[in-house]
Amino acid sequence: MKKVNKKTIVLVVISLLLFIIPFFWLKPGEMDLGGDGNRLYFYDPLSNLKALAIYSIAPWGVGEVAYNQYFLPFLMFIIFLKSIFSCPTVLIAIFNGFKLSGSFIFVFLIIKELLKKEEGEKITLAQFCASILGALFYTFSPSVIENMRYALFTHHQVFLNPMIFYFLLRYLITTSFKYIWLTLLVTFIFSTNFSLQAPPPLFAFYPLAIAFLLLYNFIVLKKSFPWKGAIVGILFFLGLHAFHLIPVASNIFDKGSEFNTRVFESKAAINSGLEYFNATLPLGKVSRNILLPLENPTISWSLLFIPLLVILGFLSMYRKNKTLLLVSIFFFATLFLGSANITQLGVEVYKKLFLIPGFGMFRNFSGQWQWIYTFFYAILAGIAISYLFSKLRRKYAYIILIVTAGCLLARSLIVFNGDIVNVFNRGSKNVKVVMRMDPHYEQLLAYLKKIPNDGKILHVPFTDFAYNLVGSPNGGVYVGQSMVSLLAGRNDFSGYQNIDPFSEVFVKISREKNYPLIKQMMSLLQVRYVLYNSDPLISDEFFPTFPYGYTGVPASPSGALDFVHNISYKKIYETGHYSLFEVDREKYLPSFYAVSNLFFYDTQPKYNTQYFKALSFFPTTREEPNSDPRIAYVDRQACSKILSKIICDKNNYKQNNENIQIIFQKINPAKYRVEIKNATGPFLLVFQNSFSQHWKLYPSDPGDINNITDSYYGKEIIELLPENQAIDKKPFETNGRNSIYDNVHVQVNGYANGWYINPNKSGDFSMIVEMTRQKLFYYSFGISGVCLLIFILYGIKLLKE
Amino acid sequence: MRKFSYLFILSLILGDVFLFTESSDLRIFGILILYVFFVKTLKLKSNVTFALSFILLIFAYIQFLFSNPVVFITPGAPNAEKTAVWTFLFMVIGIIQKWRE
Repeated sequence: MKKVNKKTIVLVVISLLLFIIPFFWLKPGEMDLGGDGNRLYFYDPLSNLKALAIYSIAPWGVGEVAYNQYFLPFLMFIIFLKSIFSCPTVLIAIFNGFKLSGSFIFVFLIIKELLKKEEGEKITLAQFCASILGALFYTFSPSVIENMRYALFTHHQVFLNPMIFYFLLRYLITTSFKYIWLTLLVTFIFSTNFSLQAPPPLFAFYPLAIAFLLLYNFIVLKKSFPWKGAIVGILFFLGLHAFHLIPVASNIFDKGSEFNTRVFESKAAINSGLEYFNATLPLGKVSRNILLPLENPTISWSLLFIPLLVILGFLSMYRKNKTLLLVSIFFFATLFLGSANITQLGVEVYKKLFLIPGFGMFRNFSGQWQWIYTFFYAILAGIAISYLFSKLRRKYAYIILIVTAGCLLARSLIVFNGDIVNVFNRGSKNVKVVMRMDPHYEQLLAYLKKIPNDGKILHVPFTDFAYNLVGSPNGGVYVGQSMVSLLAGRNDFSGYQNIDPFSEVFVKISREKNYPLIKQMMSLLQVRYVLYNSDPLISDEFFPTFPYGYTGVPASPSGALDFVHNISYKKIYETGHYSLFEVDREKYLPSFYAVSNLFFYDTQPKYNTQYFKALSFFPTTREEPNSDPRIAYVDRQACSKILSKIICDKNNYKQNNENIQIIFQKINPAKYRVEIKNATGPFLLVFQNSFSQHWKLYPSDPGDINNITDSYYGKEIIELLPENQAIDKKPFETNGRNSIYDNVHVQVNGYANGWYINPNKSGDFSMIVEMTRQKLFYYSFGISGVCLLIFILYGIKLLKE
Repeated sequence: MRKFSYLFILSLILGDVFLFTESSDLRIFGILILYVFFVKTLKLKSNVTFALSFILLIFAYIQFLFSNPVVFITPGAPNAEKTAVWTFLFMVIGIIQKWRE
């Protein structure tokens, strides 16, 4: 039997301990799911996948175009794990365990690899100890442990970055393609970390890491670069990730899209990236980056050890070492990128970087560069300390190792006692982040999933951000993206940031308590339900400073209930603290309607921004109390596209829509079937979903209209039972058909789609309303599917070899 | 002469850190050019530069411990920050020297 090396045992024991620690952070049933990037996928990955990752329409707000398909493999992986470990608490612990032990083991392996002079050589005890210290330094650094709370999905980079770096390093050393295969497998499973939708972490790490590896290959290894494998790897990468890369890449050239703005803002009059950088410049501090203190300054005297040992390592290096010098260069470069404030000249040079298209993604420079900086710092520490240890007697090296590792562990006490995740919600009176799911809320979600219409939901209390608060039986509160949208798949408005373009309008009229206008605004946003949460734990009593206060919607249980009564008609469902109210159906505007009165306006430049946009038109033109609510606000410039100048110069234009009947059915979030009857003249058809030039109308055959779920305005609008297909059964049914009315497609109500339709003689016709970008996803998905098949077969071949 | 040069540079740096509230590129690059001049003329080794970084790091650390944490998230350069920038710059010079040695 082969004798197991003592060093291997030490390594395995430390890795296992680090993996096990997170299992003690949460009690069974507890979860920490909130924050900007929620982790609701741990709770119900299947519902999250259905709501978020299949269709290119956001499940929140007005349903803007959003390419969230990059979640697919990751959510499938979680679904697979959930089928084994059904408890979300265990799943959360497993992923946190991956983060701690993965960080440690791969940083250790990288340092070990860089210290070896040739393949197969065993490392010395000094090198082993230094590698352990470097890896522990990385694992317990602020960028790894302090980001565990409210962790974004990109936080997986703490172990993915070292893992992929190690595989690529091994590939350079051995030229074995199995390392490329493993790299590709990891990038596919954790596709969320390799999406263009979350580019800062990706572009902060990989370009520099690959530059390092190339230089290491040419300067230290002095080998020719294995181009063949690298090119095959890149092609495989592009193929495997085509399902999310192609739709997002196509979005780059969509003028006005968020992605287009982000990439090309360096050419815009206002460079928001540079403005943000200027505002956060004081946060970049070299001293903090060198000493890396934790937020809680306990045992701050221990901060000196690692930087001191690094300099001592440099001092004990008598001969030039190319690896150490190369690592140093990258360490200093990333320290500069993460600190920015290194001489005024350095700051000016940094500002020039924002002229590079896309560099604006690094506007939060101290946050975005922290991971690669810590990574190179840990490698530098490992290599420099190995030089120091090699010059010291073994007992002194042991003492330094034990003291330094002890200090690192002692200052990271929060990792061991669970305080790393057991924190209080920001702005709250000691309300815990860790929560258990309220069974009543689960009942509510189940009820919402079954509602047979497409109406949107307004949350009360309403927050100042895009958060939604949900209390739990253990006294914790979830503060994050709405569970209603991400688990029940219903578009909703939970806060200021997802009710745009009416955000400021809502602030104004809710502060004025102008309920008639609020109701009219709700009509124009297709709000059919108001979800009232009476839990005192989520009120402003327990959250006095955050996330309430700016909008005028009351956040106390009694004030919020009064508000709800004033804007809704009747209560239709109640469970626990949660009540669902329905608005007056006479005023409700469903997904599609034919406009009876068009109001024209000029967009005021001061309001031409995301949250202010509706101020240009909304409160100025007031609807009469008993008038037909089927109105539309059209910008005068857009009007000129569909109507004559004489009409557009008026304040409004009435249209006869009395006999027009609209029958519609939601097939899925990216496709609707619409039938128009008795349309004898031109009319404006409004579709209450975020405007996009990629929403197209296609002529179709009349469909079955037996399954009516609701009708409005004396059966002038009929809604059929939504099919809500999880997967489109006829994804290419509009192929070969020409879209119609493209030239009369305009934005109405500041956000929605409007088509000025001039019908044929019969006045009866059928259409499919489709988000055409969804098809791009289907084609890309096909490419990825083929590549995945070849990739798996290639993996089997490698395994056999 | 060598000993004088280390002490002179160190005193200039400490003067920059303690006597001025705002950092200035003119002073920083002036002192750096003077140090590079000493390195060239007196043939100072990289270890001297690393030793200076070592001293500066300890200074930065002590200042950091006794600083109000608020100064690290507000505009301006606290003393610890200025010393840390000097540590960074001397480490960079040390690495360049090492590469050329």
